[in-house]
Amino acid sequence: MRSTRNVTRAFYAVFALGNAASLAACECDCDQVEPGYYGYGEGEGPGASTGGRTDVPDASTGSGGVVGSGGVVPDADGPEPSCDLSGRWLAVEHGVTVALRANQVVVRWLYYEIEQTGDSFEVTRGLVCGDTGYGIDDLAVTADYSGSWDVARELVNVVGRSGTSVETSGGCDIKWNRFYTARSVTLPYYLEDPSRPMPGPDEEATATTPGWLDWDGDGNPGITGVITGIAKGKVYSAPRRWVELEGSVPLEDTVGTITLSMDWDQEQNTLGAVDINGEPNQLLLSEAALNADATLHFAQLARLGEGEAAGDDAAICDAIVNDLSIQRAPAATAVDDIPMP
Amino acid sequence: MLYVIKKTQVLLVGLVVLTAPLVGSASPLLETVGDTLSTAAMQPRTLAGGSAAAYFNPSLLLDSPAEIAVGLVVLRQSIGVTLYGRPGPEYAIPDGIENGSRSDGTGFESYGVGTNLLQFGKEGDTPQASLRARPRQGAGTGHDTGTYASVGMNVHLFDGKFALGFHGLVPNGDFTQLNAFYNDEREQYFSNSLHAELYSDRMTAISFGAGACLKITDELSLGLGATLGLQAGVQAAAFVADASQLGDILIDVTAPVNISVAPHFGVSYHVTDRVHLTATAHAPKQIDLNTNFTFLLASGVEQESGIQFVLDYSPWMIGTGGELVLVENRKHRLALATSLLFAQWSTYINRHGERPRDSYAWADTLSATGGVRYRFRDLTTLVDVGYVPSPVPEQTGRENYVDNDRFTSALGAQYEIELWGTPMRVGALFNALRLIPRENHKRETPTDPGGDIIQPDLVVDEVPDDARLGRQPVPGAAGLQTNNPGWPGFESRGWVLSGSVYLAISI
Repeated sequence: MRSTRNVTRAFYAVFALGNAASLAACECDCDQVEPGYYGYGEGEGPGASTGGRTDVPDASTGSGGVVGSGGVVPDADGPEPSCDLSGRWLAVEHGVTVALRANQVVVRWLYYEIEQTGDSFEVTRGLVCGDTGYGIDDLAVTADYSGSWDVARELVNVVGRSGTSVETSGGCDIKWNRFYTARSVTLPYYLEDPSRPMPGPDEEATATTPGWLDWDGDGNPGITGVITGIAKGKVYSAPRRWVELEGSVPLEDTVGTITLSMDWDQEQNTLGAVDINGEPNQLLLSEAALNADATLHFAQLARLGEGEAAGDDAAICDAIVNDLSIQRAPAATAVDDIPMP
Repeated sequence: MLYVIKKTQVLLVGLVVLTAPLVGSASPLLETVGDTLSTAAMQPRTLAGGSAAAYFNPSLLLDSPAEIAVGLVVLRQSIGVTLYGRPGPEYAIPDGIENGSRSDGTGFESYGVGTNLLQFGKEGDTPQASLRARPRQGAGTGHDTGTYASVGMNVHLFDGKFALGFHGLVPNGDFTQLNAFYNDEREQYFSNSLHAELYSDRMTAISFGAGACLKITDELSLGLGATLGLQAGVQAAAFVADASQLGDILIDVTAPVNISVAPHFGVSYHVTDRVHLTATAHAPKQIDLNTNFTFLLASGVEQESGIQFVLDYSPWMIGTGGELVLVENRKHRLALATSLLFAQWSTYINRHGERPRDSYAWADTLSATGGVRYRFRDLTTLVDVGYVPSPVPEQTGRENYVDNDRFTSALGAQYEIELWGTPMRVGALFNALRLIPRENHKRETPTDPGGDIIQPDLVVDEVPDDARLGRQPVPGAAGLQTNNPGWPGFESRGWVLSGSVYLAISI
């Protein structure tokens, strides 16, 4: 019996030790994370990257050139095909951006008067007639900036935009140099040095300091985009954008529609967003990036004949946006799907 | 002697078992704490003790005293997870990658949240503009203390030839807690933490079992029991008028709840007066929660999604055990007992209704428990020790199932008294489960020359090497970038301690 009792005592002792050890060890069985690194440090990462842009060659040609051709058949009584781009042109820039995995077509209409000397040309008069963004996926939104078109047409300067058009055996090699535009900010301050950071929400321009301006005069910073679709509200922004165009086009296209691949980027520089009740809304501030498919970014230019898009600036732009671009740059103005040139 | 019971009686008993208004389901809690109302403790499949036989081995109900029992259980989980430090910032996911794409314009396999954003959150002027930080292992669920009420009843009928019993463990506070989490990089969006796979919310599982025992001969008894599983469905149809106003969506809900029965069986055989053998089989049990969402947009677009949650999954469990009585007289009783339990964990289904990946499939396990029961007059003491291997292989890949081999021990005492002519038992039990420390080190993720992952079972590169943001390559996309909270490895260890006191009154 004594031995049985001793065995029992031994078991008790072992168990008691185990429980005591476990109670003590509980203090150490905590969740821990060993020292290490987390995300990118300040100034690192793609969000902070400011340069080193890599051009994406045109996948369809493998050359960074022709995106396509088409348009109007040359009029027998019209100008002769020529790589000299001197004359009046409409231009429609077409890009596709992605926000929260939803695609949006971004279209900008322009009017150019070009003078070419030798292989070089320069815009001597130009208008930014308008721009807009159309949601083309179920969960995308449409942004209407037409409220600021009139002031943008007046204040955004594209005069001086330059490039080259060189005759080749098959047609013309055309290149439009990189050109910056900005809206609703102190100009030309933010264009003189494109590396200057765009103004934040608290940096309204004054008589002595550059910043954002209320171009459309609605009492809100920057210009206002009216958001419709799956989400509704308003977005205030003061964007900056640059564009380069390049391509090899058949000679006959110079009297019809020229399609060039477009390299571009934008700083949306959103200053605020509100929902339909006027309350600040974070969802509408979601950043957008360019769609990585290079073939979705292109511009179409069409030479304007005498009498086309005539009148004052407003009349010219009205004709381009509402009539001529649809006829002469159909791929770039298509908005119900991602158009392929 | 073979007892003969009329067919009608068998039918009646069967109907009682199958239609009794029992509520129950899988019982990982009972499997962890064992019998908290008798000295069967960690060997309730082998030893007759009390009402717990209704769940563990119904064939022992007639060997157990007819009684009503109540008790209080305290359970302390202290399971720690240590995440190894991330070796450098080049493995982080940059902010602003949500609109990134592959060089061919296709999307990533998954989109991680910027690692900095995840770790530190974001302050904003409004609640909508701010983001709550989700630091690594900042929301672990391995530490909790809960109390439970244990109840049971064992009724002997038909002159001791038949018995009915039930046994339950009811959490105080939340009746049951369902905490579904992902076991890979997807958990970054939620707790960004690892969780003990077989503990945590499983320790609040609904735990009721009912059983019936039929004595075939003086030596042989058969048992049949059941636990009831719940199958709940939630179908939510939502109308989204404005995606920027998600707080104003309109929702209809349909939530049917069905019940399924998971049976268990037991057999008890007294080879001699001193040798007793048992065998049990428990069918798989689980709670199913099927959720379906339909979103109708104002534009007329309708999209549907659904997911199945599986909670408290328990696999087939086959047990066998034996008791050897060394000494038995009016003053003393000394017995040895051992139990073996096979568990088919290779069929495991996790909380999101997914099975572990084939190359990291769980293993079936065989666990063993041994112990001693010693009675001196009216005092019975016990000790059990056991070893339960983990079914989870080392987590060197994408998944982060946290589990450990465990050493179990139990200690208890019970005293028999008689008050007002009624025999009673009072007792106390202590269990300690030691989760033996375990390390998991992730393997490197190889890619082909195009940057595509060639072994999807390994940690996912959440920023492919050819990632583009807009039309620009993403700097630093080469190599592995991941928010998998378990990368580059983790360690787990801990204790699960429980103590209980009980009172059983003979009937």
